[in-house]
Amino acid sequence: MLIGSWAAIHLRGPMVLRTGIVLVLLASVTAGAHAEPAWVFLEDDIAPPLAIGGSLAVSDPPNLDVRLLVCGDSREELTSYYLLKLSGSRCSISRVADGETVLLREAPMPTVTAGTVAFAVHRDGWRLALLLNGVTVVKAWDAALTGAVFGSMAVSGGTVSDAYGQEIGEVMAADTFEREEGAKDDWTALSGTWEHVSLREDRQAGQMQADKTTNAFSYSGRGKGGPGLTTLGNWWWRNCSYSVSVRCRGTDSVAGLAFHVQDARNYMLLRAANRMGAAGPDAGLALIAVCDGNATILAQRPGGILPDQWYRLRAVACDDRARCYLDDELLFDEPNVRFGQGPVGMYVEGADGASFDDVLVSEWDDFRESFGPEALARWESTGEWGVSEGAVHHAGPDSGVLATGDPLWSSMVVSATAAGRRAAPGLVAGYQSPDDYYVFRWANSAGPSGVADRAQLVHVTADGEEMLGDEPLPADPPETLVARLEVRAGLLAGYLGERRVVVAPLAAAPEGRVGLCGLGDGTVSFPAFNVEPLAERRAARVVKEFTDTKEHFEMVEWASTRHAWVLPTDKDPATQVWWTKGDYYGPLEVRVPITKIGSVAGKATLDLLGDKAGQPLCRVVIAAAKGSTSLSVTVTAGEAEVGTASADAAGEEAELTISVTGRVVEVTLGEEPMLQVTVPAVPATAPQAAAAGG
Amino acid sequence: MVAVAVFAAMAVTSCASAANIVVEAESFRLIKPSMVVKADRTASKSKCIARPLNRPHAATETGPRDAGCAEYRVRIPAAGQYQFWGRCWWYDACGNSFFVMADTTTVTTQTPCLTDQLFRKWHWVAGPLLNLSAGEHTIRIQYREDGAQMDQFLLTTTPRTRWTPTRAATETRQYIVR
Repeated sequence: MLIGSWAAIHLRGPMVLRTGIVLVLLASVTAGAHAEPAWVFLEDDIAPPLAIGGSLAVSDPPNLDVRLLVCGDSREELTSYYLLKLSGSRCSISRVADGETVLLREAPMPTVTAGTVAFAVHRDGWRLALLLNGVTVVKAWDAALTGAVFGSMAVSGGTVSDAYGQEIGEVMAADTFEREEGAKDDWTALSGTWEHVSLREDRQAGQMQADKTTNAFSYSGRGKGGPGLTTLGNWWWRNCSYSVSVRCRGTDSVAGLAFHVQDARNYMLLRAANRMGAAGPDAGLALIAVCDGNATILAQRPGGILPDQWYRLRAVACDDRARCYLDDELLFDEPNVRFGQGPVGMYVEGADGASFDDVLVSEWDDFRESFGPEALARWESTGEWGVSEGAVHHAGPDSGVLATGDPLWSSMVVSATAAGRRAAPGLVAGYQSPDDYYVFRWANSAGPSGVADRAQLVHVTADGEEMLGDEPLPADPPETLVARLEVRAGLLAGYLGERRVVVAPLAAAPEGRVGLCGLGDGTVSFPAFNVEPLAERRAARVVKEFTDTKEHFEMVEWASTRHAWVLPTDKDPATQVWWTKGDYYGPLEVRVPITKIGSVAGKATLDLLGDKAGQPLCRVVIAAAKGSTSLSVTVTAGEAEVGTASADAAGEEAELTISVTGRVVEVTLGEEPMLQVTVPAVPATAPQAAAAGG
Repeated sequence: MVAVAVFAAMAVTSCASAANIVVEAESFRLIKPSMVVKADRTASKSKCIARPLNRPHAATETGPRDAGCAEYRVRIPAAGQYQFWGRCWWYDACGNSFFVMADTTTVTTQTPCLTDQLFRKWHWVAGPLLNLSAGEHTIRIQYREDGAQMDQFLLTTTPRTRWTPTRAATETRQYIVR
């Protein structure tokens, strides 16, 4: 068996083959010695985050013993790595470091028959996962090792071949289909008929909804003897957000968003049936695993989509959990989807077909904990913590912190259902060590002294506590509530329920793990804990060139790429004001590209969070002088100046970003922070519109 | 036991490294207006090549006004099919392409271009598959739409179904002929 597997693994080059044979003979004459073959390394270093693909040829399934090495520190003197073992019955992930092997996770091995299996290994932040034929078989969470060496070792029952590596940067793909019909694109039609269309020829052009599709171009698909499926993207897309706008034509069509597509017969599908279509088991909205062409419904609910109307389908997948949305309404939260990687797809059934637009794929990194029996394996604790009845509990009198996650996590939302009895629960972010973390904590009137009836943001250091924000609670909060801590560049914000109760401006977003905290003599309990990326910001841009509707009559509804702006009635460019149509609540970010810096003098004024009839929250004036690459920014509230700063743009073009979060206004030039101020006045009611003046 | 020790010490290479040729866009041999070099802190080495925006920016597929380009001379180590990738930044749907030419200066209806629909973000865009012999070749990046910028380009023998560049890469100067 040993010789067989060696011969197979070394059939790559004559030199290696000779060496292998010599050593195998040596092993065979060493009576009683149990020789393991050597690691076979990928030649190139691949720094995480990464994905490795390859083939596993299984010859003797019951005796399979194949090992993969990820994040190794060296080819010559290997001392630390993650060991992924596949045997006939089990697969496991262990951390090997400093001579010690720690089992991180183990799972039953799925049934494998003799033949070739595609394997993939993903290492992304603190995550590790092993997939066979696109299906996750074991996964673990550990951030300790970051080496760049990958290797494999076939001990018995199979061989590894054709391994290849993929470093992972930012996953991002978008398609608005703004190109001439027939132009070459990156979509691969696996079934059905697909074509690129311009709505100027569409009988429904006058009924489009500008907020659901960003332009007059789209992709159209029709089923042909079965469903139609077209795909875009890479085999290694795993933890991503996938979204697409869809519009059914006629009453017989069904549209869907496919993700983790393996081939035309294997994929995950968010399927939206036509509400005017026939009733039956296929009606409604469903999350479906299509395996070998057979559909298995994982989740289903009534509803569907009306013909000739745009909808937005979205699926976010992370750690094999998928959440699906229709027009931002959560439809399904499925903890175990069938496939764990692959491209995105557009799906259609019926001869009437459907239109698709605005495909967007971006990275997605979330974490959900419901505190099952093995939950604490992913957590590190100080203080007295225990898991029972589906919740984690902390008991005083000493304070305690429970931390988890990727040490590089930064901008995110941490939330938990929390209950405190004579104690203060807390949410933790930026956790570097027990002596360095940030906490949002609160307590009702029965809470510990100093925290009772207050909400606080605190930076805990080795020297003690630094109070960043401390606000009285407007009402005695209930014992059990949902709390949220938002960590974003320049700001920490704590929420109880939907109400923001405390904020603290910071120079930069703290980076580190996240977690839970308990303080006081009583007990705190957390039945659920979630981490999510910050809410996606929707862009609105002024692109004056697209407002030429004589040239582009089909673009009348899409005068900008999203959220049309109100055309100024004032024809004088020096005084005209562009108002956005959108209503903006909550955090706002305005990006202003500035050109011709140094060659012209100019001034631009932005009124933020105001409406045409009322006063804005604040006004930002950007000024440039001829002969200088310096830009100055002044922030005023009413008549009062609240801050001013200048910075060198170091070129003739730059992008200025103005962020408004609550009363905190930040200005960034390129990547460099320029100004952060707190505006004193808050409008009594939510403003109706954001405005840009120029 | 002897055999175990010998085996453990042996590092065997299983997967040969693919030929990747990485060129910073500003490492051109010649550049012709209206293509320009631009300072950009978000680009690799803080520089890129750009076809500045026309004012007004084109709102239709009107075609280029000139033959502005940047030319590069690269040494191909082994004959083969090379996938072209460009690390690009596009202004919008009317400013999102370059012509990519190998050993030619003439644009025809068959000249491949580099384009996709991800705007205002540096990212890698798949271009044509180039059949290149071993030895020196001229790669020409030519203006097709205003508002397009390129930071790097990469030629690889690894097919795009298997590998996609996702980060700015380190320039392989040994393959660039000055």
